[in-house]
Amino acid sequence: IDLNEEMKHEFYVAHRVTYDYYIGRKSMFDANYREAESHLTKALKHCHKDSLKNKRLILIYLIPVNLLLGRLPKIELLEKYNLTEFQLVCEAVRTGNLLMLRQALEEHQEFFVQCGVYLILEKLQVLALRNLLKTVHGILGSAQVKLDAVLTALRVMKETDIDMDELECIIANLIHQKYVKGYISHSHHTLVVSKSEPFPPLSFLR
Amino acid sequence: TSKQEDHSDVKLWDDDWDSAAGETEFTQQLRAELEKAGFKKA
Repeated sequence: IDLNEEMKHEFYVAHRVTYDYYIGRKSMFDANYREAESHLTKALKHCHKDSLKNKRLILIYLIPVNLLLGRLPKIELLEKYNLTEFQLVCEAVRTGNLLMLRQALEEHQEFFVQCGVYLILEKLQVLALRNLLKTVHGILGSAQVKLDAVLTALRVMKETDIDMDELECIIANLIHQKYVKGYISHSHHTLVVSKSEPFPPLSFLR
Repeated sequence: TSKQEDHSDVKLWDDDWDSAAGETEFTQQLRAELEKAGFKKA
């Protein structure tokens, strides 16, 4: 749905907020996260200051979208709108703690499924994996990250199903998606990361 | 209409957490487990 600027001004603000909310949601389900962010942020900005319930509804979708774009809500925001269900999810993504992410999704599964964001939140695994690799890379302090070390880290988080082949596949995807700058040395079972910005700032997602 | 709006919520987001990420309890746990498995800082 495309409206020209003149038409948009003819609508009441409340109607525009509703329009942006639904277009934002639709964009999110279509996996157009940048577009979803733009519409939902606009809806949040122009929503009547006393409509806390509506702002909360907007945030239920804006928080997952922004997380996927590498932007975390501050705790004040979650507390203000009683959306603390997202708190552990954010912490898990921030640190790359896949176990915490799984537990957070499980704990509030009913809420997330009811809101329709569960499957979107599951996509955060990719970002959590990128952050886990970044943490392991930081701990080992070398541009050559042994994949056995990554497997060890995964075992710590009870990810026991992933073997070396699958890990190489996961990391190849992370490299392809530009979350990691480097290459895999298959024969040495090693991820060799770039010396400059091995984990590019997430602003590229936005 | 701006009097009826509160724009403070759009500022309650953190874009910079990635560069500010420091030592956490999780990092410490991971370091200990990696050291136990023989992976040490180069």
